[in-house]
Parts: sequence; C-alpha cells; structure tokens
Amino acid sequence: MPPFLAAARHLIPVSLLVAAALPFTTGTAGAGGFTACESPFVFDGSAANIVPIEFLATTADQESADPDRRRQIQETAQHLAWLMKLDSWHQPTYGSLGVVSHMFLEGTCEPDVVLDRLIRGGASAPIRPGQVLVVLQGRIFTEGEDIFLQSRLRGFRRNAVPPGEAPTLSGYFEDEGLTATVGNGSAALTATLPLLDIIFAPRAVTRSELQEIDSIFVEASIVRAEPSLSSRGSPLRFEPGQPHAFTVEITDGGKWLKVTDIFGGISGYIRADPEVSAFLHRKLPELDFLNGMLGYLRIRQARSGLGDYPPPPESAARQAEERLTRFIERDEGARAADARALAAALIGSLAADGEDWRGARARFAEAAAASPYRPAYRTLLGVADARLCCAAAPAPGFDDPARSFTDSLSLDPENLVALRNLDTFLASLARLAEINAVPAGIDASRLAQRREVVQKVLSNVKEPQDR
Amino acid sequence: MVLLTVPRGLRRLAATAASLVALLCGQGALAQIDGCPDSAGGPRDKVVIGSVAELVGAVGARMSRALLAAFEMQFEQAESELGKEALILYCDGRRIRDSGSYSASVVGILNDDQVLLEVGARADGTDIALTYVVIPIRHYVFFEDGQQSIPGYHQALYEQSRISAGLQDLFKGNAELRLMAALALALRHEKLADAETDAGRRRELIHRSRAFYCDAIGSLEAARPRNDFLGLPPSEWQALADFARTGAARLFQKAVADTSIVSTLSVVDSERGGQGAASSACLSLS
Repeated sequence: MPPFLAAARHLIPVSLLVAAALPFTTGTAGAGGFTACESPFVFDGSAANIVPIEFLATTADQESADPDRRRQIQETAQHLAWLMKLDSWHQPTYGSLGVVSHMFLEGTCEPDVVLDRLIRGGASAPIRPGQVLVVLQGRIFTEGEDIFLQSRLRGFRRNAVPPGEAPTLSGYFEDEGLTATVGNGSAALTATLPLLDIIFAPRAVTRSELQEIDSIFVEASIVRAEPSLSSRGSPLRFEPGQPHAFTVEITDGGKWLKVTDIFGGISGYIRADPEVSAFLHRKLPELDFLNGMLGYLRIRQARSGLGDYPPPPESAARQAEERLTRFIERDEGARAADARALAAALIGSLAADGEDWRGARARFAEAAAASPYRPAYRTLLGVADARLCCAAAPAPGFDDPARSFTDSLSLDPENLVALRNLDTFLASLARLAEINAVPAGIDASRLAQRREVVQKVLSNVKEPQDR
Repeated sequence: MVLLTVPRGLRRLAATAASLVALLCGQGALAQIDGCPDSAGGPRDKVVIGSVAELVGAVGARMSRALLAAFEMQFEQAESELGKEALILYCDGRRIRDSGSYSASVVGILNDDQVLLEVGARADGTDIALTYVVIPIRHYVFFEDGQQSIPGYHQALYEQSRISAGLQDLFKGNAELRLMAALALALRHEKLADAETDAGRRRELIHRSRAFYCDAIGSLEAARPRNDFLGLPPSEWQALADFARTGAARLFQKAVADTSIVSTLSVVDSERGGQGAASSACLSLS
C-alpha cells in the first residue's frame, strides 16, 4: 500500500470534512495527510513535521450568539490555513518533511492537548526520539475589514524521555545549545538556548490584503499536466467546505512539485516559486521564523545522532539564516524584542556550529541587546567571547567573557551553568597568566581571590539550570 | 512564570478580558474569593480575572469585543513568558472596583490568600481603564510602609475615540501585565525569604526574588507609556521602575550580607569588584 494511503487510513472520514486542509510531505517520506484536531497525526517516516493548528477565535467570538459571525471567523481561519499550506510548498523544506494541518472540524481543540497526544501517540505513532516537530497555533479576531492574528510557534527535537514521564510538555524537548572548548581543549563551556516557544506580537491584515495574497497564490499554484510552464493547467483555489488531502513530491531539484489530491482528483505539477510568499511573509513575518527554526532543528538533528534521519541539504544553514534574518528585519516594536532575540540566537548557534565564532558572537550580542534581561543570551555571548579570546590565538572583537557570565548569574542567581562557565574560564585564564599569555582586554587581576569565591559557591550548589 | 491565560469558556472570556477583580466576599470569608470558582486554587499564588460585563454595557459591544480580544492576546503572551508561577482564576462573578475599595483589610485578606494580582477593565468617563491591583505592593508598601508614591493600584487608560479610529493601535498596545506580575512575584518571594529560617530555602527565595526584580526591570520598556494614547501615567511608570531597581539592589545586598548562606551573588560582587551600586545592578554598567 502506498505510504500516503496507509497514512490516510488514520485520517478523518471524508464525510466529516467541512473545510479544506492539506497535507504535504517531501523527500523520502512520500506521504501526506490532514486531520481533525481530535485525531492528531504526524508522519512517522518524516524527519520533521510541521503541524499548523487552525487559529482559534478569541473567547468573545467563541461565545458569540451570532452564528454568521462564528462561521465567518472560522472560514477566515481556514482560508489562512490554506494559504499557509500553499506557502510551505514554496519554502525550503530541508528534506523529509511532513505538513499536517489540524482543523476544527467537529469542535475546537486546545493546542497543548494536541501536542500531548502527538507525543504520546494519537492517530499516529508517538513522535520518535530525535524527530522534529514544529507547531504553529494562534488566535484570530476579525472586525469589519480588519483581521488580527497572534501566532505562537513551538519547535523541538523529541528527546528520549518515555511518554508520560515528563511533568510538562517541555520535558520532552531536547535541549538546544552549544558547547565550546577553551584553553588546552579539555575544558568545556556550555550554553542553552531558551525554549523555542514564542508568541508573536499581534498582526493586522485587511480582508483586501488577504484577497491579494490569495490571488498571488492562485496565480502561482497552477496545476499543470507536465512540469513545464507551457503545459496546460488549472489554478488551485480555496473553496470553503471542499476537502483536500495532497501528497507532494519535490522533483527537478526543487523546481517543480508533483501534487496529488487523494480526495479531489487533482493531480499535476506546480512550479515552486519562493517569491510568491513575499507579501504573505511581510504581513506574517513569523512564517519566516518558522522556516528558519525548522532548518535549525533539522541541522541539529543531523549533528546529534539521535535517531536515524536523512540529513538536510548542504544549503540548509544558509537558507535558515536567510529566513531568520528576514524575520529580524521585518518584526519591529518593543513587544517583538524577544522574538528577534531568539531569531538572532538561532543564527548565532548555526554560525557556532560552523566554527564561525565571530559571526556567532555578533548574533549573540544582538540577542542580548534585543532582550537584555534574558540570562541565556548573556551565557551564549560569554561562550563566544571565551572561544574568541582564549581557545587559540586571540581573534579580534571579543569582550571579557567573565563579564557576560557574571551578568547571567546576576540576572538569575540560580543559573549554575553560568557559574560553572565562569569557573572554567577563570581556570583557563590562570593557565594563560602563568605563561604571560593573557589576551589584551581580559581582566586577569585578583585571579586567585576570584577563583576562591567561585569555588566556595560551587561547593554549595546543586543542579544547573539555564532557562 | 506567568500570568493570565485565556481560554476556557465564555466566562473565561468575559473574564478574559482582563479584568478582574477580586474583592473578598464580604471581606470576611478566607479561602473563598467571592465570585471565583469554589476551589479558588488552594494554597498557591493566584492571578484573578473578573467579569467585564459592566464594561460591555458602558462602551458598546464592538468596542468591548475588540478590547477583550486585544487583552486576551496580551494575556496569552504574558502567560507564555511568565510561566507556571501562578494559578489563573477566571471569576465571572467579580468585577474591578475603585481604589478605595481596596482597603488595608481587604488587601490583607487577599494577600493572605496568596492573590498576586487582580486585573480589571472599567469605564472611566470617556476612557477605558485597564486596572491592575498588585496585592503585595498595596499591602506591604502602600499600607504597611506608607509609601504613597506606589499605591499598588494602577490604571492604564485606553481612549475610546482613538481606539474607534483604528483598532491597530489597540492591538499594538502596551504590555503592563508582565511588569505587574513580575513585581508582585518579586515582593512575594522577598517577604517569604524574610520569614524563612532554613538557610538553603532562604537563599533560594532571595535568588528568585532577585530574578523577578530583574525581570521586572527588563519588562519596563514594553510597558513604557506612549506619547499617543495608551498606558500608565508616566509618574506611576517611573515609580514602578524605581521600585524594581531598588528591589533588585536590596535583594543583592541581602544575599551578600547574609553570612548564613553562600550565595552566587557573592560571585557577582567579587567579579564586579565590590563597587556598591555598580555591583548590585542586574547588568554590568557600561
């Protein structure tokens, strides 16, 4: 049985469908599906899955006595889900990706319940160790011509904790961070990113803009009989109440997508074009964040060795950085600072993975500037500085790592990762001092006294935390 | 840590909005906060959100719906950022009242019941006032210490005329909620630390209090009053900023001076050379 049909057996009966929803997989998995939110489903064979959950009306509208208003909001939310799905076709996939929209077909679902069931195993097998999951959920409010959206994005690699044993959902998320050595290479510094869980500032889209976005995707999503622009074709349109379930296969090096609707009879080729997403992404920059986060997680997945998944393409790091950089450039305002900081930290981590510590340091400094009171970014900055100043011959552009580790500790005195890093760094510094090799700009005064204070505290502490 | 979340039924919603209030039933009944669910959360820190039915009647359905939606989005963001520090109670049967109703006795009972924060929206002439009652501040600072500059009862005004002219500004509005919650948690943990006799537990409470004060300082910018039309009175914002900074420094000194504990903040003091205010700041001074 073809994989996508096997997958489809777990999906809701067609008779229950009231709205369009799309599934999409690429790379080796070759299966697709969509589901009602009560039957959470992801593709077991895919290295990564994106799970967009239909945006939820705000509470006032959920309780509205006006059925027309409720219907209009749901139709708008499903239209957006349709566009986000089409958008994902035109973005970098990083290979082996499943996209399963979770729709409110019989009733609404709490996203945490959906996520919990995916971890434990819903209509599909439990998420496997190392597998990547990216969940996009949100709130929608409409008033006349205006549509307001607030997105929440969570991404993680599943760790090895058995289902049911973690006290919170984040207990199933693998830590994301980095390790670097200093001195003679035996001493390791560590840093952990904040959870990849971010709620974005509300966005405003008008109905006319939504129609414009729709028109762009209709024009770009011509399903042709052959992978050629001269081949005849017909547009793919959002039709309320019309169910779809697509399988998608990338062909011709990513230039064409072969799509097959297992319910609607549509089959053919769509020309992939990242430019069609430009307007939608200007209105919803978090879609760039989503793609960059996906790339980051796929790269980390390949490096970790947890699970046996196909590696992402060599272009993955560059693509992820491009998307995250675009997000930073477009998302403005004080309420967006935490999201910009996390995007910068992800780019910095990718740079560190590639041993570009100057680039990493610049991004960690950017993160610390955007979100100055988040201790994790201070720790990351300190690790990059230590790597630059003291791993080998000093590279230009570092500050004293002790300062960042101290700031991290000052912001969160229970943060023992920073304390251990400070201890490691001071020990390394002492060795450099013995051979008169302390780099300029590093404070090596009172070293014995400072190390004694750190050691005294370390002897009285317990487990490290850095979030 | 966190604060308000929204989802759960309609009531919730009503509640959602943001409003909340919690005056104890008859000011006497302990354990049960009037208008809140029977369980009332038990012995946990709480954020109480009350009904906005009165507001709906005052400003109209369209405006109320937009306000509730904007507040709901703000609460959700705050909850995600602040975490699991407090239980969110949606209390359909409660509504926010004027500052005089939050007397020393009422606030004392709410404080004993571990209420951290009450949030409510009420009509105020032609404006809508998003109201925050920061219970620990009102109890310890305003009533017990007599500091009139920081009453613990704060209102952020939303001008109806400007909101009506365009909802976008409403949804981009200020984010006072996290600041208020962080301050409430900071002071609550500080008071717990003051009363704690076990050295290890006291050290942990001091550290957490310090972290919340620093978090509050980090939340100041997003809560800064805007020149156009939304936010706290600038003098109140400044008073809260001063309170947060003073608190962070005070907790630093407590940690370093307490000879019965070994605090990581002594490392901060050592690394910064014991330079007084420069040492105790949340971040190094440039």
